[in-house]
Amino acid sequence: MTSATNSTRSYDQIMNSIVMIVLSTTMVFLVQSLYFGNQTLAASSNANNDCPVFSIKYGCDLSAWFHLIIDGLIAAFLGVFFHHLAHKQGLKLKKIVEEHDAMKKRRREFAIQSLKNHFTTLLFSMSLINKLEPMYASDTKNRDNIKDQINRNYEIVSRVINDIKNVLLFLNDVLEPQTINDVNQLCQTIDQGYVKDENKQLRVIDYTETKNKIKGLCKTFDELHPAVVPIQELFQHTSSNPSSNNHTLKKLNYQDIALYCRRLFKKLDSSK
Amino acid sequence: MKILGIDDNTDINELLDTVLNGSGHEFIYVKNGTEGLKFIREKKFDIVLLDLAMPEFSGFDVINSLLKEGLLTKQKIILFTASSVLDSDIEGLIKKGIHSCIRKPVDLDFLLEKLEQLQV
Repeated sequence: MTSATNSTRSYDQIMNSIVMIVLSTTMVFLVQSLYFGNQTLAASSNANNDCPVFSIKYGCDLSAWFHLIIDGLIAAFLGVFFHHLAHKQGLKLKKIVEEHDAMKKRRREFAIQSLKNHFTTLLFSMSLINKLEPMYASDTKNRDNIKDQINRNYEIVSRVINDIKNVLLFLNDVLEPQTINDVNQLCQTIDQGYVKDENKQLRVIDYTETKNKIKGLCKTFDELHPAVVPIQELFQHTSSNPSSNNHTLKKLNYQDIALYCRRLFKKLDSSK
Repeated sequence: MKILGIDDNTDINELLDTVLNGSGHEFIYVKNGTEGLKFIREKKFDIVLLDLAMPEFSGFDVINSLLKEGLLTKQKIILFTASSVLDSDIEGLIKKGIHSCIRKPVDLDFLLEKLEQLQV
């Protein structure tokens, strides 16, 4: 089935090439004929019996037929030449598009992976806050210590939410709009999820709801962006593929994108 | 249990440090694969929580190095990853000597439960 498709594709490519060559030859020929038309007519009007049609002699002008043949040959040469250039350019473009697609896939993988890592941190922190809150109320001896821990986790939660927003901001071109909306909604829910209870104590409401939302989101991630890349490819190093450095658009692997994005986020954080 | 965490995410490392050390385990963490490999070679751990995607020396590189040195089955290595790894690849790694895989995001209680099961 695959070989049949491939052979049909290569047949189509050959036919396309032939059509392109014929078209470009015709075009060049027509342009040339316009330029040389006058000369051709002039030559044919001064037809001399001593000058046969295909002879090249001193004192004889080129015959109209010979002009036509020469024009045809030049047109054919130029046609093939232009076709070759167009084909070369097409290959370059194809390579750029393929590399762009590959990079987009890797950026998407990085975005989803970052989000999942951030979700893990969120779940851990929120779970800890939920465990520490009752202890804070009951354990009067270690109250300050517990309070510090709770506050530290709140800081982590708010920092992670900022990081998630950064991921959405910088990698929104590789994520589905639905994913971005869902993640934004989750951030809003968590942002609004801190309420002060009757003891004027901050607490996370609906940890279970948040947990379920995150689970649902990850399910959507897996449906929208299923794993397709083999593990060897996912963690291959750029250095192991030196030929990729020759391309105009350097092939970036996951590690490079991860490092690049991390530097970008750090810069953003420091500028804040 | 003696647990080694190899993860470049500082928040996760510190949170696991609080929780696991607070629940009677001995948890040590390192932030990259090179250091993790060094620790595995030098010390004996009951469980290694290994992240796959780390800059420069990934978890996959750690696995390959351990496989070459014949150290992969020295301790229970659990992949703790957010990467989109194919199930077939995970199965392949388990056949080579990895204990299991926990995909992020995961609930803290689930992780603790899983570790408790391994202790038994």
